[in-house]
Amino acid sequence: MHPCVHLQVIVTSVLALCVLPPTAFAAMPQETTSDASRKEKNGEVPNSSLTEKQLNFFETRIRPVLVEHCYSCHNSADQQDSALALDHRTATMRGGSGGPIIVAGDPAASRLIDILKHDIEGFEMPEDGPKLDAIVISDFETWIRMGAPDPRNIPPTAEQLAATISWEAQRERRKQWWSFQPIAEVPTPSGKGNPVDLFIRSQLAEVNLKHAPRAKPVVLIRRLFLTLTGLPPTRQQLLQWQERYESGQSNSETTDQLIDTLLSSKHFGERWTRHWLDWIRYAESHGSEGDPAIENAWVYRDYLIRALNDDIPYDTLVREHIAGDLLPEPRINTKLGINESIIGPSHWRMVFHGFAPTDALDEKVRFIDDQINVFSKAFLGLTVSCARCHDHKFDAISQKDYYALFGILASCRPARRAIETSEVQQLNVIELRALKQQIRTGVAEDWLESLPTLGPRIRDLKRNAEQPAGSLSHMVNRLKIAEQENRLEKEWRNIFSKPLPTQAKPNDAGSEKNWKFDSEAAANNWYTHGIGLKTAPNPAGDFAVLVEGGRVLNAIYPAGIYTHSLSEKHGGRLTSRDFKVKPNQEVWIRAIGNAGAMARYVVEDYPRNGTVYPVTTLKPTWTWHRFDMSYWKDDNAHIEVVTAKDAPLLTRNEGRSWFGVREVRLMQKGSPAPGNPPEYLQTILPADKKTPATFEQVQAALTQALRNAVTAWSKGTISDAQADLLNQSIQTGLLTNNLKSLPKAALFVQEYRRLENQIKTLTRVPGLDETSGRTQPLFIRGNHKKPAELVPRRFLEAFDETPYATAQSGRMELAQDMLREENPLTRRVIVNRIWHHLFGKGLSQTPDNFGRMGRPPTHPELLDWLANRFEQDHWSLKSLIRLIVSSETWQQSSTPSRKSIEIDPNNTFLSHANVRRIEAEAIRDSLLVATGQLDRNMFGSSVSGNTPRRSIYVKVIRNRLDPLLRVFDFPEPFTTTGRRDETNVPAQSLTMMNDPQVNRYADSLANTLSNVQEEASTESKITHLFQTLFSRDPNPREIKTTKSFLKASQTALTQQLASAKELQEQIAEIASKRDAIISPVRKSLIEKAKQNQPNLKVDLKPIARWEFNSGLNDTMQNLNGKASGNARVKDGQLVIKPNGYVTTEPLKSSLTAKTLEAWVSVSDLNQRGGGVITIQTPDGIVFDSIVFAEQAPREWLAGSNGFQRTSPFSGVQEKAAADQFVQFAIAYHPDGRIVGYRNGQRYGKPYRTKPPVTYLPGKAIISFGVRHLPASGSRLFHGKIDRAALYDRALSDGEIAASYSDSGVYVTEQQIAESMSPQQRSTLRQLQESESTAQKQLDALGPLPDQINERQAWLDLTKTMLTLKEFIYVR
Amino acid sequence: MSDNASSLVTSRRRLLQQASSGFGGTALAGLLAEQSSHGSDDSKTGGANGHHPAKAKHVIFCYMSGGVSHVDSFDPKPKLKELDGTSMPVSVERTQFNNNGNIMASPFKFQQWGESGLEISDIFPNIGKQADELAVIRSLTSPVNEHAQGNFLMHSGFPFMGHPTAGAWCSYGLGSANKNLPAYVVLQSGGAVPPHGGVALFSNGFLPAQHQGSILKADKEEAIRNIRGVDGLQAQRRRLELARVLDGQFLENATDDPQVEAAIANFETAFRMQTAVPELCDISDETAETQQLYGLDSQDAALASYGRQCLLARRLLQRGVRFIELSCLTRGIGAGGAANPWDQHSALEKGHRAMATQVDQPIAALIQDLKRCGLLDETLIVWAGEFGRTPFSQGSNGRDHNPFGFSAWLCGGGVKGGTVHGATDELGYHAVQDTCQVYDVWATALHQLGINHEKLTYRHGGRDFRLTDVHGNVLHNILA
Repeated sequence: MHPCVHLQVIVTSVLALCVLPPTAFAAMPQETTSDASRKEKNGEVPNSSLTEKQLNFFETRIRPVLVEHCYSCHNSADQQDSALALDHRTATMRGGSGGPIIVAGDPAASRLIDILKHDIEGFEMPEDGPKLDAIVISDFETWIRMGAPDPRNIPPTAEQLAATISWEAQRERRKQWWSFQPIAEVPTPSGKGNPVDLFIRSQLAEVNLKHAPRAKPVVLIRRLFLTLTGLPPTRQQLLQWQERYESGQSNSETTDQLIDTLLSSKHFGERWTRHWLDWIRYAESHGSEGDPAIENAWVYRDYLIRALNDDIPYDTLVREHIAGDLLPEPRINTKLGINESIIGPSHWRMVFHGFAPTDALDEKVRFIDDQINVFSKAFLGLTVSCARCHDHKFDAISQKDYYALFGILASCRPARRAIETSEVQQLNVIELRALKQQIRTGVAEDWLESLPTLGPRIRDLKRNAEQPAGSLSHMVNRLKIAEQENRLEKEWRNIFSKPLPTQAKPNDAGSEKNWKFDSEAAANNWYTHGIGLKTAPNPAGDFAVLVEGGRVLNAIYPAGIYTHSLSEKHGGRLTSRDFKVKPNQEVWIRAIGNAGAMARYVVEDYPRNGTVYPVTTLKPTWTWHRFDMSYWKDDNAHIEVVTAKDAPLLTRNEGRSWFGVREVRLMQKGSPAPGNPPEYLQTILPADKKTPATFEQVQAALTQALRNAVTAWSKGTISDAQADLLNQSIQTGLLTNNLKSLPKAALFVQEYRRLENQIKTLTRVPGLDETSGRTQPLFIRGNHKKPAELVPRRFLEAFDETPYATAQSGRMELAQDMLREENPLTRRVIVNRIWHHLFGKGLSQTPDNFGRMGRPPTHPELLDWLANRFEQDHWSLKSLIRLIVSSETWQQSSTPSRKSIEIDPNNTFLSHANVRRIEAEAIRDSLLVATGQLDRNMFGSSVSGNTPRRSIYVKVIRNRLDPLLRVFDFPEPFTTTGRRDETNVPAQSLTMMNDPQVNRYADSLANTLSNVQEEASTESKITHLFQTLFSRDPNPREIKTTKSFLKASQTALTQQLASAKELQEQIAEIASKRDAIISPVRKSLIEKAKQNQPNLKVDLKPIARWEFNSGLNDTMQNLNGKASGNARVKDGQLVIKPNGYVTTEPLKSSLTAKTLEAWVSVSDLNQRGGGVITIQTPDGIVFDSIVFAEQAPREWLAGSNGFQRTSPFSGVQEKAAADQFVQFAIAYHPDGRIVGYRNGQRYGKPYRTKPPVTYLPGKAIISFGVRHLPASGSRLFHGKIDRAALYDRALSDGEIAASYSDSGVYVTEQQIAESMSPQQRSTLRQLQESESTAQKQLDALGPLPDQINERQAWLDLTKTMLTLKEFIYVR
Repeated sequence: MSDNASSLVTSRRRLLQQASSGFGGTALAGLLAEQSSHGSDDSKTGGANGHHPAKAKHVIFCYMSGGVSHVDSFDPKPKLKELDGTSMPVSVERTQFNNNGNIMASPFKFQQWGESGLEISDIFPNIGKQADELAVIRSLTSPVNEHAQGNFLMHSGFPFMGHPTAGAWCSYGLGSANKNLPAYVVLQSGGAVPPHGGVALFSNGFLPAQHQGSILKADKEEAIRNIRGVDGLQAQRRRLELARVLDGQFLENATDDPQVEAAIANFETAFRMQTAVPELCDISDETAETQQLYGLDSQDAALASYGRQCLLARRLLQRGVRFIELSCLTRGIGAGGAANPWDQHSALEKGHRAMATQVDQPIAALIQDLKRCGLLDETLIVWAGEFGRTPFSQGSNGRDHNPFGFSAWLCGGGVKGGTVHGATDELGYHAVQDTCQVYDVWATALHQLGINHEKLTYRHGGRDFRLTDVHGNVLHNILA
């Protein structure tokens, strides 16, 4: 159900209301002249006892409120509510069932006031509405204090009442709201300077405030860079502009130059595009289960960047957003060869789509609601979708308005559009068409010449397994066999006795609708989109030329609709009109296609697939595809056949994709299936219909048929049956299709191929298809199951209720209405949005809502003046921005005066600049700029947040938004977000403190500082750091603080390192003490066990073990291997040569703690980085591996993706493994401890890292000989592996030792514990406790480097500096 | 700065307290403060200023993602046994897979439990023992038939992303009682992932971000994203000191901007969280008996892992967290994947048995444990999935989605145990008596928290929104 709302409270700041000039922008609508004249007719004679002042007060302050909020329930015609009527004086004073509510002269005693203040529970009025503004309630108090003067002597008649509370009357009253008023012709205030300043100053003067002084250049530089380009200045830029400010020219001149520089920076478009993307809830996926991609959504993002950098006028962009695909003169980008305008409508498609909903119409209503909601908020600042269930509660928007717009969008379908110009799309089309004719002529001539020798080839015709019964080769072979068996004539009659296909009617029994695409008329009412499709079907005999290989023709086709007549790169989308699904209806589609071409029926325009939304991939042979639609009885559906890139949503990345369709039928379920009759047969029957007596006569008949067919083909008069015959003849080789055997066509074919090769694969973007305009029924209370009266397509009735006279959707008309002079919203809204992004607060602080529930502008005259100026400046956003940022108002210091703090704490009057937190993208981009890593390349498909590209290029996947951006209030792409939250949550601080990405930035910053050569002194390095991060020099106090921090840091780190070493020694000592207790116990247990069971084999129960005795099989029978490249089993060993490796089947259960173990020899000790045994995801993205010599030569390493779980063991250099096998094992403990072992002993020192990765069942494999997949370069290992094993736990030291010694005996920790004396156990427990205490202390120290040098102190500093608020705020 | 000026700054600060910091304080104070300031378009307009005395302080939401079959769990239908294998005697609504078979009797036995004699199937033997604490709703309905929309609806009252979820509303209404922990925590373990719809199911929507659900991985050292200090506490403390000084100077330059000031305070909250969260997750101080009660020693890794969530839930609410959601672990049976483990379109018997085993002992333990530490009265447990399943089979041994009537239950927090609200028809297909929707569940939950659901509103995009949209009736008959 649609949300309508019960509004409880409206909180009003008296201060903000005081700002409004009461006359022009009173909270309540003013009375209109029509109200005044109606009054006279009502017989309301002004009461002579009322003064003019009283009368005036009632008419301007009281009556409009009563009419708007009370009359509809409390009237004398229909006194249902408490029998209270408020539409004339007597009743008003009498009150309701609970007695009087007004005591004239005594507001405190009047219950009405308590009711309006919501002080009486259960009587909060107006019902379902917000509490009236405090100022309105105080008017009522004033009025009662005046004695409740009221000129309404007699009750209105029912007609008068109806007229007063009718929607039309209500709408007219609501149209008085400021934002619906025409934009006022506000004169530019007199005085010198920027007009913006003149407006602001005049209001400041009214409250006795003054502008703050201009901000210092250094503040302005950072503010301008971040505001205009979203990037802080680099240190070089900062110094360069500081120098210019000091060069002697006036500061304001320099500032103007800086503004111009930044406005023409390519980064300007990137910055402001992101704002725009917030307005239209830009997303690259549709959300919900599956979260499917919105393919090429990013093309729209790039379109905006180009447009804003080129300062394309805003009106042009609005027009393009609504109907850019329909413009008669679109905006062509000749450099890129694209039609920019056609990209604009992409935003319509950035809706949320459910997953296979069972109510398809409900889904359609929802996504159109999403479209209306976003479009109306973004461009009109109106909440039109509030009127889905009823007339808008507060604004002049009717429920019909909603369905008028709904009809426009429901007349369009989700689609994809190619963006290239028609020149690009049409490239070589004329030439190819001409060449095709020449190829046809040439091939025909060659064929005719070959016909005399056809006879023997017919006899030799083998039946091809792919040729079905009834095919030409099948028929010929039947006759051949029949001839041998002397029953040729009988067989002939068998074949030809059935009615031949053209003699019979199409098998349309049960067909309710049958489209056979053999004439222009048949394709009437079908929609074709895409360069591959013409409006009329292709006649029989059309063919496709193969663009490579020895064969020439792909096929010769019957009449039908084809996308690849000239090139498979020419895509297309063929759709039917909508039809209502009848009970038990099926659709049958006879189609052919390849490379991801698809056919389906589409219910209520739902573009995704699902169990009850089937889609069929077409095959390169003619097939009838059946779809049972009975599930969707009574819903609207249409049929859709598409090439791979042209599906509205289910696109596939196939540049060459094609389809053909001959027939579509709607049939009753259970009707006999339409067949694929052998059409060619009729062409073979001789004219005299004589039955051949010999096979030679069959040959002659067939030859004659071919001659006729080739001639007809050449002349263009071929029939479907003849086309079938020709096609079968080339597919079976009866007619040659070989380039070398077709000399008359060969040259043309080669030229054809050359030209076809030049054709570009087109870029398709999300868009809309026009179908035919339809009139939408209004849904009663928004319920799509209750359609009511039809509402014509049109604009909002507050501006123009004339229905659109168009057979199309009406988007063109809508675009015009958005921009027409009488519509003041479009201009006011954008001007306010720009102001908002420049100041952090709009002139109206509700940029998405200019309705009654929004906030009126603080500076209405300025807003209107700017709106006019904007139009005069040809809707130039850059001019508008330049005008505003050039003002003193914008360039003020952010330091408020004491007076301003006192009387204007919200800075409504703009007596100073606002301190602002920068947006998520700017924070991330600042990190990249500060560390010198920013990749300034523009445009292209979206990237992961781990790359150094600007944030505007980071993927926006609804279900997986970038966590770093999200934490700083990147909005969920769900609705228009004109004003982002600026929240403050601990997750933000945690990110800046601990996020690995941020820490890498800190690290690289520390490196930069160590590399600063010319500025050797600590002071200058600190200065460098402040300039880089905060775009300013540090003050002496800061230098002092920072310097002493560096010193203290180094001291502390040194101490920490010392303590760490001490603790480590302590731990080692404890370990050896422990060992001293455990070892003898173990030894004696082993001895004992050996005596008892001399032949015991060790069994550590690996989950997989590879012996490499007889192949790559896992002896536990789980994970059998498969060799790639040069890897093979020889003499019981796996021998891996360069480029060889082995992968196994996927794991069957999940694995977290684990041990990898292998006996390995290294063929060349100087090789680097190869993996011996690896567990990994099949794509190799996540892995853990025994790696040889990756970070340091000849050292074993626990390799992992991005070194996430890797630290050096710092073990000894490997020397022995070249000549012998060594056991190497790595145990991954659940707590993140990683222990390496070589030949049964610990290798180097263990370390602790993140907890081990959990590899999921079916999502992980083992590999040998490669660090991780894909296998390439230094990831590959060469050497031999004798055996290997995988364990589902971290083996203990003892277990590893047992495995190494293969002594046959292994004792568990449990056994050892049980064999100890109580005293030993107690000592051991104490040792364990002290070890754990020491370990905790060690952990608290954190990871420390081996040595402490200056760089570590700098790193300590940079990590701190990135957490400082100044980094993410701008003054 | 003169006294006068500093008092001015203070008053300005008070006025702008919307730039709130961390999780601190309850919203009551915040609401009052905000009502005196000017609300903008997106602002609180209603509030939970103690609408009535609260019965409960916390909510634990045991979300059974994927859709538990009600006719196999909490809604016994003997008729199905009688008609097993026959075709549905009533017309069948559209199903998501359109692979509808005949009536399928429950493979599980139902039995009466406790004094109330509440009937529950034998896959929940432990929860069965707590039957006298449960109020089962057997007449829930949902307007949507697919997972993501169903999940959004159950969490936020709207079938798509962008709206605040129940936990966010509770956080907004009541705040957190612990300034070092968020008010709304989503527990995961054993590789559990958010249900279909993703993390937006834990979203604050248009409410301020401190109300969003924080995902806490019960079995990971980095339990909350970036909670692990990279450099040990000593180094962090040293940095915090420097930051305090330098931030202080910036604050001075920014003329004590309240937002900046709040951000600085926040930094310290984050610092404290680094200790508070590991302390919370360290269950070594729980007795072995307690750990066993929750099944932490179980051979069944999924059970043990879910048990850990349940135990952490108790530890969280002891620390004042308002709203805790638990996440089921995948068993990957019959189309039930990681995001929707209860979704048995096939192999329902096996799948439901495995899933029930996973949650039965731990949830029962949670009820028992809360009871014995006196917390059950102030904690409302809500157990629900996004829809039920069809009384007829899908294929041979599964069931398709059924949003027309399904079960959920409430427990603790002032709920009358051993009661049943509403009923489905004799086939368990449609709710026929006291039909209700998730709005009624949340209206009831808010009611127990002392909040009138119609008055907990937030203005966004020109409307006042509620968790219960324009619906919601408090289910008084299941309240004590």
